[in-house]
Amino acid sequence: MRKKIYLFIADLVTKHNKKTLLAILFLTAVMFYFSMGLGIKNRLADMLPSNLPQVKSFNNIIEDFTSDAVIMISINSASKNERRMIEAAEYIGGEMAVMNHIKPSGGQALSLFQRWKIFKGEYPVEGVRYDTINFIKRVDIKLDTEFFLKHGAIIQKPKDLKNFTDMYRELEFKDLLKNINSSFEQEFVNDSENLSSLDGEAKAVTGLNNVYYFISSLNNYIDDRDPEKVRESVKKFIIGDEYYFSPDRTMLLMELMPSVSTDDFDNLLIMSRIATERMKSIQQKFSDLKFGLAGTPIIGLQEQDAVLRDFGWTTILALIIVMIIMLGSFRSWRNPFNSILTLIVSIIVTAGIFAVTLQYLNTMSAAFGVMLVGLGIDYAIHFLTGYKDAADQGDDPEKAIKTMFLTVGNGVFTGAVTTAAVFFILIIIGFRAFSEMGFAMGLGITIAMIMMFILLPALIIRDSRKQNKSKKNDETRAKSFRIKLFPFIIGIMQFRFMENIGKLSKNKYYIVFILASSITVTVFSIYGAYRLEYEYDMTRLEPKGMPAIEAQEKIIEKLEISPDFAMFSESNIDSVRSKVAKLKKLADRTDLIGRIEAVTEFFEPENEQRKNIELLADFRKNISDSGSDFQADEKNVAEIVNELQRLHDNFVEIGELSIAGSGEKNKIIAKTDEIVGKTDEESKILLIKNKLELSDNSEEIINGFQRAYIPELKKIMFDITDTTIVTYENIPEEIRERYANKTTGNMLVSIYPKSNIWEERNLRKFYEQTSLIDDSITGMPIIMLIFIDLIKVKGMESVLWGLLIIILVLLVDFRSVKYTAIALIPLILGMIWMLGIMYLFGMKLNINNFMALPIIIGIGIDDGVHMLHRYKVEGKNSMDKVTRFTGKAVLLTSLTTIIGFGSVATASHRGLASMGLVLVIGVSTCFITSAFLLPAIISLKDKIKYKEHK
Amino acid sequence: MKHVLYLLIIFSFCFPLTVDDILDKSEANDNFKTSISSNVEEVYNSDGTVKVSEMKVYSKNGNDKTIMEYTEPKRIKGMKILMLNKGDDIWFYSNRTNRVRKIASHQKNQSANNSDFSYDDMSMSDNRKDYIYSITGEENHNGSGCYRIEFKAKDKTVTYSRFVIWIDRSNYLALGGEFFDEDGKLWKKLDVRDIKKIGKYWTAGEIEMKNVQKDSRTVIKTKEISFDTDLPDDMFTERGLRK
Repeated sequence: MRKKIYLFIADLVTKHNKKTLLAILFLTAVMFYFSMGLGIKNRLADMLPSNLPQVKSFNNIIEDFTSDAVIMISINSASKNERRMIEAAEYIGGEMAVMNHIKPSGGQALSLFQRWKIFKGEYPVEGVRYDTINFIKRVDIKLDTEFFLKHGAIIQKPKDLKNFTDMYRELEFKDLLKNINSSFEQEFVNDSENLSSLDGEAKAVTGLNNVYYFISSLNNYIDDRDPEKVRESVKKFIIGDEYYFSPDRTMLLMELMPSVSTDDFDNLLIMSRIATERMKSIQQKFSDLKFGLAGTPIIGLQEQDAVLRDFGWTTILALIIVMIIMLGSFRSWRNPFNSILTLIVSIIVTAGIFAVTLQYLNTMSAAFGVMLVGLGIDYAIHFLTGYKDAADQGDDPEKAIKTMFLTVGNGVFTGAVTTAAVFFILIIIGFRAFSEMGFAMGLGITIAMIMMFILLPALIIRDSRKQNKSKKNDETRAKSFRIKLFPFIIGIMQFRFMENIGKLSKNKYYIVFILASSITVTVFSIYGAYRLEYEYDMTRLEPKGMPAIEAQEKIIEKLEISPDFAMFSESNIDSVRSKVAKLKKLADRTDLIGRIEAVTEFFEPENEQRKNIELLADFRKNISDSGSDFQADEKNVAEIVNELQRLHDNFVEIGELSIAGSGEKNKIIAKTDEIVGKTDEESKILLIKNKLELSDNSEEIINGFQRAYIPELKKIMFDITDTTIVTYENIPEEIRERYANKTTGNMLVSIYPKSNIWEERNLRKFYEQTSLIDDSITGMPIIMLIFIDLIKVKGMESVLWGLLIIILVLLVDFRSVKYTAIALIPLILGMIWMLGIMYLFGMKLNINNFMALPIIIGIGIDDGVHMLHRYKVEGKNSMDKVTRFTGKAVLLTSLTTIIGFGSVATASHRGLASMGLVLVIGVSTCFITSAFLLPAIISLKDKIKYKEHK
Repeated sequence: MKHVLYLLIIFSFCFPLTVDDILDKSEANDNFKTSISSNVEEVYNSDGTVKVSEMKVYSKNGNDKTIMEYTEPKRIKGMKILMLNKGDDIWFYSNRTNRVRKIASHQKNQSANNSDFSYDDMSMSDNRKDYIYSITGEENHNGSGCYRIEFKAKDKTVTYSRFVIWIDRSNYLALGGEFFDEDGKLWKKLDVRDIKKIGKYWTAGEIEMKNVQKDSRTVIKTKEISFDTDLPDDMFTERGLRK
């Protein structure tokens, strides 16, 4: 039956050559037109089951709040020049606040010509409507102090407010200092549980910083007697840093909130590129500072740039080498060119069908072109090898086409059908990412196979007829091949040694040696495969030294928050409050959480605030009635000196207690080290104390200092103790809209992990624990984790289903269990040996190289199928012929794949490089098993059968 | 003589040990007058880093009074923690400020030196007053026949909602434990290893506490230990801390 079909096709392409070519040209043109409408959906969430709570939650949050990621900009100054860092932050904020982008409005029906102009970058294009979007929703540089200056007291917990009022009830410096010390001792030293909780640690750092800032203004006053600076320091004393500094004051952090989500990948990349370019010019203006950009958008951009850089020259080099090999093997440039042309047509036709059926490709199925080239070229090589062998035997082109079909047609057909089936089976796996990719690849391979059967022979016949007409071309060709180097290269490229392998395989000692070696290698490989480790840290798959990763690591080190965060939304304020409380408890127990952002952080429940009213009213009255003009005497100065010593001691002990509670690496010890150092000689507080003590007119200094700060402090104390109850309804609009959607009323809670969230084990722990509090917790890291888990589970299912379908197809094709088993050997052993080699070289499995498996399966099964089909055609004891012809083709297909994917192995993107390396190893091991082991097994089978017959 | 022996054997079957008997015998292992030990604490964090510190521990009257003095790392060398009344009262001494501060009693629930042991764990406070306890079985634990004793919290003020310990039947030493948080989820696992007898006291050469929720563990190894040496009472006072 198949023979009839092959002969029919041979007749079609020979006798109706022009009509066949015209028909395919027409089909290609139509499909090309359709393919222009093919879109790509980059949404990772679109590849996941839509009924997952995390996916639903993610989509809802994107709809309500637009963005799920931030860009963090770190401003670093080794010399701790805070003024300069603030100046830079304000400047960057101004430069980044508006980032307009003009793009064609969605939903327009554009002509090919208009699309081409847009693609070329022309603007404006006639007849096209445009939208302008500002990529930046918000720039966060500093805290909104206005709110806290008015309501800072009422919103505190009653216990904290008591401490607050105790601390500030006396305004005279000696008493103020005494109360500060007592408050520190009460809150942090005596009750050092407050140092190790998430909130407590933050409060302690803020408290230490604020007090020190105030004390250091005394130091400045001693030096320059400038009351204005003292007055400026009072606000900071009460409210704290407006800007987000690291505890050691070498880094200031600001955030850009994009108006596009991580799923709108194209626009996110454009935005990230604009931000990066602007930062480069800002860097020139602030050359004394170092800037870092971190966050998923920036990582995505830098990743893409690295990939494009990598694939530039390496791809070209690989293509050149492949062309040289094909040129040498086939002694012609036309036929290799025809195979590339056939592949391009296959891709266009496939894309056209996708445009009509799927309409969109996802991130995985969009790679169908690359994978098709890798697999489809092999069919061409087999056909060209078959054709050339027939031509070398003396067949004319038309007969050679028939011989080609009869000798390699079955191999190509079975190989393609098997590989297509492996991909098509993914449709039933139930994972959208795989099912779309499976459909895309299955269809692509089927189309490629059909084109190789029809278009490639048609092109070969057309060219052979042209060549006959033009004798000049022959002469030119003949001349060029007379250059001395060419025959040598061409000689090697004929791979004649493959025939010797076939001959050797008939020798019994060779068979024993190959079988014994194979068994040994297999045993060791199985041992290694079981011990193969998995790379959990996804940042290790990124290019080494990627600036965004380095910036991220520095932010985590200094501020203990990750730029990438998880989130969930709630419609009810009480639910938000309850879940935030649970998250804080989780943070205290597990070290997983660095920061929590929610609207409830801005105010306590109403009933709690009411408890504060009486205390606040009393405090306010007390402040109003208190005097402002205090005169310090010698005794007061001595008290102040003692209190400064006490303050130093408190700072030291708070730092030491924080080590006792949280270890040496914590924000509090970083802060106390900065202020009181590791020895008394380094202590800035003792420095101020000594300065005051040794000063000749310390009383005058204290009086001047008090005159400067007391009125300001009094005013702030009065303002901050406003007794208006703060509710969700009356918090400032700018604060509310950050955390709640006006229309739906949904409130956002963001949870920043403490550690590198792209380390899979950290991410998994973080997710496992936080999802117990809210099972719809989501965010790009979580979506990615779910995606990876599905890939692992469904990937294994796919491999098993794939193997099953391969066995079924082969059984139908060979109608023999024996031949099916033999055909599977290169694939199964090839893959086992591949895993063993990976273990031997210390390689790890990761999410990137996992994706190489489908290609290796496709290639591995092709090798075995081709060899076996050729053997069936040639008959018993024909291994020398099988290896000479088909073995040569298998070597050629393996070489071209190895070179092609070998170029990927040199990528700076370590994940892609490992994928390329795994492909090289996998293809090599499949080749070795099909070229050496398979002939030995088949020859052994022949010997056994011969003996039986005897 | 023989029939006295038979009577004793029969007696032991008629009157098996109660849970209090077992706990008394277990606590008797701590009935040393004094002990001085040098220990190394290794904290294995979830991110793979390891933090090592060394301390000297002085105890009197079992673990009624304990002083922990850090000798390594240099950063906290000389820092002392005094626990009296089996951890109900805790003081902290700073070598640098030469001040002694009392820490709030609920602090004992907190982690000691960022390890997986809380001060409460380290003080081996009397759990009987805060928990309802019973023998829930006899089983093998780490190759030794043990009594399995379960403790359930009487109220929510204690660290663990419940915990289980395995006490070796032969020497009444606690060989391991599992500790549960307020939601009843497994929080920590204790493993006691390298059991040896020094003089008349059984002691563990190595104790490991694994924090299952945090994926971290702490191992305390005893480098050397001696019992019943002379330790003055005034050493275990605020003034004594400053010496």
